[in-house]
Amino acid sequence: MKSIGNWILWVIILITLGMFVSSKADITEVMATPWLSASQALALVGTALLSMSFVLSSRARFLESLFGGMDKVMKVHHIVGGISFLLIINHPLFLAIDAIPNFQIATRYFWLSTNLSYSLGVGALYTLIITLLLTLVIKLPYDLWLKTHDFMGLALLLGSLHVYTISSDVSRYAPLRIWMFGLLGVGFFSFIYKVFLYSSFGPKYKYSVNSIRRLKDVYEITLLPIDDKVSFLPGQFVFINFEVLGLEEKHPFTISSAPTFNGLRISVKALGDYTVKLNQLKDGMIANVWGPYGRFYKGMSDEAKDVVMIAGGIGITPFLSMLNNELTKNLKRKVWLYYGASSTEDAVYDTEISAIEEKLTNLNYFRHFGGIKPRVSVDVLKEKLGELSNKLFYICGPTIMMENLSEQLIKNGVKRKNIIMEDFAFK
Amino acid sequence: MKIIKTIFLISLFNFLVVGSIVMAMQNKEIKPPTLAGIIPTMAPETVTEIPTAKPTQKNSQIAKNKTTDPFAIIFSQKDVPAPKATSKPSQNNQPANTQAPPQPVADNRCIIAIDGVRYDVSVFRNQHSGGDIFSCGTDMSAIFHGQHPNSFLQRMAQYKI
Repeated sequence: MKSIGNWILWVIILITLGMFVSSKADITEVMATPWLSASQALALVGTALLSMSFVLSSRARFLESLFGGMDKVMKVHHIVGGISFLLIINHPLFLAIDAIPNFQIATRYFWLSTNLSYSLGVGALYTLIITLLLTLVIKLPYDLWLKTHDFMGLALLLGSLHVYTISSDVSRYAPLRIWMFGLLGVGFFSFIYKVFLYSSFGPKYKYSVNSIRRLKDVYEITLLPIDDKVSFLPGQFVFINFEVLGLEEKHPFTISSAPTFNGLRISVKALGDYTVKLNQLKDGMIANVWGPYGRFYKGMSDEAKDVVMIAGGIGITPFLSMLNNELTKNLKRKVWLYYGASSTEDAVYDTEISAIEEKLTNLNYFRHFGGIKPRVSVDVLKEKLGELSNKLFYICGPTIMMENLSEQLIKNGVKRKNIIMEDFAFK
Repeated sequence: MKIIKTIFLISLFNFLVVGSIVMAMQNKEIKPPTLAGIIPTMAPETVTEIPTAKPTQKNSQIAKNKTTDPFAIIFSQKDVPAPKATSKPSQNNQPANTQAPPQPVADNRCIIAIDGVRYDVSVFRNQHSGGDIFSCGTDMSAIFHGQHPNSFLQRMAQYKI
């Protein structure tokens, strides 16, 4: 919660509330109509946050600097979107409580009426409810979910029209009006950019499929650039779509090759409805690549610090890129790699790492495959590492594993800033 | 995500419960008094007016006398009472065709009454902090006092007719 981006969000909330209070004649007006005032404050802050959730989902590069990585941006996007809905859905509830016992008026807040302004607001709310139901409750296939999620833009449009047409503090107080429409405008532009412009104007590179290899349930795909190649750092990821039926949607994939490699290698576990379709890929097919994104390389440039890499399952992929980078750059710092997998067969990159270990003499490689060794824990780390506080820890794997290890490391004196994690499972 | 999902479902449940109660109760509600039918000139619709007529001391007095009925005070939209239709020539012997016949003039003002005082809220309804909840041509005293403290009546003074 300490990132600059979070502070900016708090400032936006405070400015919105400040504008709301200053739109009133005096504070007694707020106190005299508590339900109405609370309802209005909820609507304004909710609308401001809804707009910001669109900005957060825009994939704009500057967001990574503000929040510390695209995975963090998407996490905040989920939280901000959820909170905005919570605030907005309580707006009509509070208005209804304020209107009771006049049920004729209260009805307008829940269903379409002859009053256009209210109906636009109700329409926006129901659009939000339906799209969130499809996101949070009903599990749709990824492609379909992505399309339904775009309907959030309709909710923002209807909500903006509601704010524009309704008689309220926004309509009678110019500074609040300018502020709210500024935020809504930025949110709406972000939506337009993400849905309609990003594909063409985003950081796009054209590649072709060079090879596909199946390693148990992991597809290893190598791409070669057709024109320019994407310049990335070890540990970063890209969004890729393939010009093949069923694989047109952009997906985030971690790069498992070193930056010095001419092409891109991605290693994908066939988990979801999208990734299982990767078997349709053939050599020569076109892949569009957007990126790079991610801050999983943070601190790597400090070659004086020893590095501890902890991978769980397919979370090994960014470390493949990092290890290959260490090898090609002939770096001399000490590197410890703990590779956890549910079984030896599932540790599909064990052979590759073993080959790197032979060349990279400063690499200490520990296998923690199911049935052979216990899971990686701080006690396990302490056995080989000794002092923990002077090292950088990179953890990638299932969320529960990352959270547990991070908590244990902090308890053992490791500073939070020296623990670098990335949630690669975001939508 | 679990927390967000839980919050979403609780909020949705609240919304549906309160919404259902409100929808169910609206049919049982006693509507605010709509007295437009009692005083026909009251409604925010069409009234009869002679465009050339100007209020004179005499007809102002007539108006004063006529407005002893409180409903008339509240709901008559024109200070000048509508002339009675007559086929007789005017009393000052002017030719009948020198004065235009009464023409219906659209009056789109939204007038409400609070505590027996009329307010033209045509402009205010677009700036009202609590939304456009006005039922033009009705006595909104009960609703007003249900939502605002009495001190808010002072703010309404500027809209008094």
